[in-house]
Parts: sequence; C-alpha cells; structure tokens
Amino acid sequence: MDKVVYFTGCFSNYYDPEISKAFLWVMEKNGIDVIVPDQACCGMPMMANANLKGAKKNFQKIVRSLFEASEKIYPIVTTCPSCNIMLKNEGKAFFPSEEANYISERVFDSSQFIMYLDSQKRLNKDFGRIEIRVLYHNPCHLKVQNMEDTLKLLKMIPGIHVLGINRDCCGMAGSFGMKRGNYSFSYLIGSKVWRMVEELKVDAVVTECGGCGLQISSKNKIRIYHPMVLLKMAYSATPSGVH
Amino acid sequence: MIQTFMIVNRSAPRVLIFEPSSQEKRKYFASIYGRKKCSRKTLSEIKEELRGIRVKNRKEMDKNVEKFKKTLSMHGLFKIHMAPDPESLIKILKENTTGRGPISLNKSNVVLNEIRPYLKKAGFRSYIRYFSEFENFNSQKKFFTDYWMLPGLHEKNILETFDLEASIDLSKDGKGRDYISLLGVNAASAESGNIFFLQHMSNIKKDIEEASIIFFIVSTEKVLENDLEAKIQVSSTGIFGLESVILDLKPKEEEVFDFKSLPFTDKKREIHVIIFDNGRNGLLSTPFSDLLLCIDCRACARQCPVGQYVPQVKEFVYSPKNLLLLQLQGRIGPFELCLHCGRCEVECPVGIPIPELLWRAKIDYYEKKGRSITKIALDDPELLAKIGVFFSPLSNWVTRIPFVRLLMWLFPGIHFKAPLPSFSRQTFRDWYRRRKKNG
Repeated sequence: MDKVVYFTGCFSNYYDPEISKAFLWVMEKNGIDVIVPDQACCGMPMMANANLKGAKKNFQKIVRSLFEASEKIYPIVTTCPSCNIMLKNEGKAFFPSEEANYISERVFDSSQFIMYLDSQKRLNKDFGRIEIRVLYHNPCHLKVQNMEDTLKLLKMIPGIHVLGINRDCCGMAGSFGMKRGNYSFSYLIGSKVWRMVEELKVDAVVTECGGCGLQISSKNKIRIYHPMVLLKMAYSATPSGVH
Repeated sequence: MIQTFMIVNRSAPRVLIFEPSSQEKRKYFASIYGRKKCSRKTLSEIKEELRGIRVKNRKEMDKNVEKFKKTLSMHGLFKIHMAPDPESLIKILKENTTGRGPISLNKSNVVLNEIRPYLKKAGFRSYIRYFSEFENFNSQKKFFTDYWMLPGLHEKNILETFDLEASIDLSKDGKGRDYISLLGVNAASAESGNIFFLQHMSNIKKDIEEASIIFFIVSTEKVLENDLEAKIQVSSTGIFGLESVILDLKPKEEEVFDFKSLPFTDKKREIHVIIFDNGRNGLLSTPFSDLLLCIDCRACARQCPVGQYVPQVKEFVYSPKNLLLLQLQGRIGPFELCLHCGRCEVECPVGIPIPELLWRAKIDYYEKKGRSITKIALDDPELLAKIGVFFSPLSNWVTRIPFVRLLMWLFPGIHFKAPLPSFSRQTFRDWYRRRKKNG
C-alpha cells in the first residue's frame, strides 16, 4: 500500500486547512501518496435538517468518487469523525449501494490509520519532543465506534502529557449548538468539558472534531490541536524538543 | 442464574417479581470464588440471547397475544380486555372503577407516557407509589448531580444477581384497600399466563397485595412465548436498566400518597388484564419495527447528553426511544434536541438503531409538514462555507459585527453568542490542486 484516498470533510477544507495539510505531510513522511478526489459535504448536516434528497445527492456523489479513486485497493481516510461515521454507518442505512458498502468497510479515521501503520510496523517513529500538557476530548462519533487511537498516538510522542480525557459530549453537534433555539442547551452540555479544561490547567486540547474544537475554545480560548497537526509538529521537532 | 431459576408450575397464573439480589450475593459473585463457581455469561452473550428472543417474539406477536388471552381465560381469575388505544383503555377503566379511590401507578414507561396523560384528562387522581418509598432517603444527597459519571454498573458483577423476590398466587381471596392499582408489566408468558415485574422498591408487591382493583397493563410486545424467555427479559431489564433507574432516583413530593391509610373495602377484589396495543401492531410492517424489540430498560437514556436538560422529562419518562415512540403515536413532534451522537444505539442491549430511526421519523414528519426556513438555510453548510471562503477575509470581519450577528439571529437563526468558525482564505482542495499542478 503506497496510496490512500483522503476525504477532507468541510471543516478542514473551508475553515482549517492546516489539518488536511498536516495529514498530507504526515502521510508523505511515511512514504504514502494521498489522493484527494472530487468530493462534497458528506450529507450529515442535511440529514440533521431533514433534507433527504440533498443528503442522497451528496452521499451518492462522494461514494462514487471515493470508490473510483480507491481502485478497490487503497484505503479511505477521514480527518473528521462525523464524516467518518457517515461513510461507515449512517449513509449506507439510508442510501444503500455496493459502493457504499465497500466504502463503509474500508474507511479509516486518521489516527486509526496511523495506528494501523504502526501495527504493520510501517510507521515512521522519528518523532521529536513536544513539551505540552493536553486534555484529550474524544468526539461522540469516534466514541460510539469505540475508537481511542489518538490516545495511543499521543502516548508515542515524547513530551506530550495527557492530563485528562473527556468522553462526554461537548454539545455542539455540527450546527446544532449555533441555532437560536439550541444555544442554551448546547451551553449546558458544554459546561462540563469547559470546567475540565479550567481545572486541569492544560496548555491545549486535542480533538479530531472541528465542531467540538470550536465549542471548547469558545469559552476557554484554549488552543485546539487535531492529532494530525500534533503529529506533524512531532516530526518537525528536534529530539531536544520545541514548545 | 437462568439455570438455577425455577418456574413454579402451578395451574393458575402467578405474578413473579424480580429484584436485584442482596449486596452480599453481589459481592460473592464479584469475588474470585463466586466467579469460579458460576458459569457466568458475558455481557455480549446476554445481549445476543436477548436479541434472539426479542426478534423471535416480534415475529410471533399476534400469536403470542392470542395464546396469552387463551391461557388467562382458562382460569377465570382475570377480566381480560383489549385496548387498541388509550381512549379505549380509559373507557375500560371508567366502566370498571366507578366511585373507587385513587390510582397507584408503577414507573412503567407505558403507563406513565402512554396512559397517565389520559388519566389526568379523564379526571382520575393518580400517584406513582414508588416515590412514597423514600422514607430513609438521605436528604443531603437528593439526586446525583452528575450522574453521567456513574460507573458502568452492568460491568460490575451484577450480571447474575437478579432474584425472584416474590411469587404471588392471585387466586387467593383477600380484602383490598379502596384504591386502584395500574401496573405496566415487564413481561408476560403466553404459555403459563404468568406476569413478570422487575421491582426496585417494594411498591409493586404492595400494590398487588393491597389494592382492591388491579389492572395489569400488558403492551403487546411484552408477551413472550414462555416463562424462561420472560425471565431473561426481566433480568435483562435490570442488568441494562439499573443505571437509568438510579438516574431518576430523587424524591417527588407530589407523587406521595398514603395508600396504607385507605380503608379496606367489602367489595370483591378484581383483577383485570388490559392488553394494550397503542399503534404497536401498525409498526410491524414499517421501518420502525425494531422499536418492538425494546424491553423498556431505558439504557438508551444512560449516556444521552441532552437527557438531563430535555423539557419533556417533566411530562414524560425520558429516553430517546420513548420520545420516538411518542412521536410515532402522534403525541409529540420530532425530537429536535437529538444531537445524533449515537450513544443510545451503543447502549441499547438489543441493538435498535435509535439515531437512524429518529432521523427517519423526522424526515417523514417534515416531508408532510414542510421544513422551516431555518432548516432549509442551514442544511447546506458547504454552500455557506463556499460563499464565506470566496469573500474571506471580509466575510470573517462582517460576521463578527454585532449588528450582522443580530440579523443572523433573525435569519437564518444563528444565536448571537454562538461561536462561528473563521473561513479560510483558500480551501485545502484548491491548495492541493495548485500544488499538484505546480508539481
């Protein structure tokens, strides 16, 4: 395997391209080419707003595109947990097809893929030291898939101290927490992770989900890192470390 | 536990009440000696067995109900009624309870969500007797403020520790106090006619022993083929639902009523069984048929992030599945506060895809009613993002002006305090394409 197909998701494409660039960089460090085929929104926000037709159009488009790009060989990797679960579970339940089943079986979360490389003894572990104290926030859409590969990944990087893990929902859920009628609910649900950040006095929060990151940083003004960004930093750091 | 469970084979149907066994027994099972002595099943084995039972009995729902009716009618102990909807159930109650005392309810989802609102409308006084059992409740700890932090109890050695607390012979004559008891059952056996309850306090047992009129409410999906299956279902309700019972553990003064002070009546004790469908049969041929696998354990409420904040909690027993069923029964609109986090599906012991079904119900609802402008405006964040990126950084500056935020609050309905992400000046995919083009 020397190639992966990358599904960027909207957040890292339109709002924080550093996540996608970091993923590309990390893959290159491991000798893996990244294919970025034509894509669109995964359809989850449309489903959440009861737009079945729109979701179907987008989902079928991306499934076809990813299926063709993977050439029935290459794995598909996402950096967004919600896109990941949409491609793995939710989408095929509503829009079943052979391609959807194929994608569902071969889609990886980025940290999961890194740990897969490690299990195959293919991971470049030439990490420098990053002195940082973090809280790991496990987004719901990874938690329900029982995925905590990021924690394993963080343990491999010298200098990263994981002071706490939050497995509870942050309350943002895409655009849910932004809506006029939901904001107060979202705030109540989010208060737990905000409290944790304050109590642990961490330097940053690590999470895979852009929406969770937005919610967490909105109150604490804390730095949010996607694990791929930290991994890129680790590859760039010297053994004596950068902060 | 299943192996050691003995069904008392008597001719007349009985009421079998199960409870979590004593702390000593749980400790014993948790010990190395206890583990060695019992051939305990893993949680996934229990789930698999339970799902198998539920799937089989869903297929035979009509057959089971017919057999259950036939078995009950053989003994002449009960008056059997069929209630296709709550209105007909209320009619049955009115016809059989004229001039009688208040109603004692158990904490059954079916009774509290599907029947109680109609009882109130019809003018019945009802109390949940469970809340009269808090005599020794520590007032310093009124409830768990942060119950999401409860340890995973069902992983902590309680798997085989639900015991038969009481086996009540209903054929015995007895005097009852002047009140009505309405009890939603956890399971019923078509073969024996036995009725099964899971009890947390002692309210169910007291009601069966004391009330002068008892109505057992058997929702159609709760009738199983035989006693063993019913026993497994009831134990599973305890195994997977115990934490959710604890979540609600707080006194409710308004539910307290002193049933013990009511006088004994001279009238003959009456026992009724109401087989209650309330739209369940209609679900069989729909994409929502998996809801009929539910055992009402409310495990789905355990990790629901919005559960503790949902206003419907005041009116209904909360669980994502309960709200979905109420929507399908036409009682409430779609559960708009669902975050679609998927935690309920993971918790469900029979694997009901609750988030998927909630989406389906929501889509069906809005296909008929039409979507709001806010929904239409926010359903394509990619389009908004494309516009934002095109005008970036101007778009970032504009969307932070208080007046613009106020306009956004009005349309499309973005809260003025909500955090908004900043649009990038160049999308990743554009950057990637240029990089590739330039080699």
